[in-house]
Amino acid sequence: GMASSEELEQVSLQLRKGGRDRELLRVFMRMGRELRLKDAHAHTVYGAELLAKHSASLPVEEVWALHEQVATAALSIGSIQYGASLIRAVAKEFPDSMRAARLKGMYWEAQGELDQAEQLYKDMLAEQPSCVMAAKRLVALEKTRGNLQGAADQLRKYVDIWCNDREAWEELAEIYLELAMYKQACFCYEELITLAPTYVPFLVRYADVLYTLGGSHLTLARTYYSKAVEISGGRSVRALWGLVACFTHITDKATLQDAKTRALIELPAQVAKALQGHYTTAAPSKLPLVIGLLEAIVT
Amino acid sequence: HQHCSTPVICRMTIRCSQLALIKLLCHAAKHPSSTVNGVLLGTVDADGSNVNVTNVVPLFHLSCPLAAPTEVALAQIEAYTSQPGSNSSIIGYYHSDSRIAASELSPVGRRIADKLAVKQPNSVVLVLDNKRLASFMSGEPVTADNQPFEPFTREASGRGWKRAATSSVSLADGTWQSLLIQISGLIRGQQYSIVADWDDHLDDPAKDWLNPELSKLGKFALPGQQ
Repeated sequence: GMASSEELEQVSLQLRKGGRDRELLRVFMRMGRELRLKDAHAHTVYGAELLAKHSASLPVEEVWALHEQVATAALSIGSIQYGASLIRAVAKEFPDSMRAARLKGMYWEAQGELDQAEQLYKDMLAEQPSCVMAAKRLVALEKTRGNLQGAADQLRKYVDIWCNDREAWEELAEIYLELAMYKQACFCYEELITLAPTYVPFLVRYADVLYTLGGSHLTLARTYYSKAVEISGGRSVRALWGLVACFTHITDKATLQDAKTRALIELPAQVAKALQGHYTTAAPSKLPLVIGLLEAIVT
Repeated sequence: HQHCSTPVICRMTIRCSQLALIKLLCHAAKHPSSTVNGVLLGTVDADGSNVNVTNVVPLFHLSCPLAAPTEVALAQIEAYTSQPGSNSSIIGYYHSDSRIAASELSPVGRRIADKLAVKQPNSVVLVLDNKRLASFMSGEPVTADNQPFEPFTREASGRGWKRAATSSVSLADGTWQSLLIQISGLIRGQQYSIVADWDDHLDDPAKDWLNPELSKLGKFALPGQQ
């Protein structure tokens, strides 16, 4: 099954302590691929060691997956020559592949040859109009150019076609947030929640954006934080704190009319209790700070 | 002794502890393709002329533009600095944007810095200048005018932020060389990634935004002993 972030923590800890055996390195790199992690330094260092010392004993598919993974990481941290050496090997082995072309494009991007990279990606799309890899690199290119609006436009065109691509909607939301286009970011989260109605991180982030918009959006933010708390069985600390933030701003008191309003009236105390429980277990040193803040919402 | 190399009378110094800058650099190193931000803790003279940054609390790498996590984090950090026996308060803000070539104070950064300035009018902002950081990390000699942290202070009008002299930032302890040795060591040994920010804490409350482990590492690495 897919690795959890706790397992990743364990493996990272062992590696930091100096454990460098082949299986530990393989597991770390595999988790990086599965969880799409961004720790480029670690991926470059551990991946390079794995390739240098153990290529001969690994399955062929894994070796090439590692080449791609490590090349990408290496380019992003500025180890361009090393990244280039891996890309040359991929290009030699898979001369006409889209994967090799994409890596070549990323090399050009890392070298600052953005126009060259752009031409390569456009050629890829000309050959294969449905090439998702190339479409996404064009978005990344605009980001590199600092042209966030351009990146958003490209990505918007992409999601018009590939409307079920969660990653694309997430990325578009992030770009909109950077541009402070909160309403557009909301639209993306509404799409994401349609695609994954019980996925807590989307519910929380949608609430976060609504809260940031403020004003008339606060009650909807509260609704979505509540949903996130409910679906996560009270485990989402982000959602609980989001509710605390809402309580400090939404000052109109609900009057007891029915079960719904009763639930609303009782919510602050329940949230306070849940947060106290979390901090007592996981971060007792912070409990005094937390209790002080929670007292304000329960009164 | 001279703080600035410009002929303008320089009325402010921003002295930073190695520990504060180490935490900031680890935070930026851990999330190289994101914007990261955080608050500066320390003390400020009543007239704002001497700012001492003794610590930082890393805030976010995913939630920089989001109001709720920011408000919750600031409230708790303030509660922390208000505890009896605390000898520091929130005195400023930092951020590092992975993409921008020249150091800028982004709109999001301005908003947060403005908020902090309400409570501490002599707040300062440090923006990590990526070009100067690259030179620093590659071992090029650091002078008062090319150290990697770009300072901003309040406009005289009280609204808006302006760049202060790069040379107004100095180290309270150790040297730029010893700072480089420490951070390089932490990156080589992959220990930079133990830094925890408020995003990490919100996903797992056991992650401590005070980063006591990193503080301990900092204590062992004395200048001249590497």
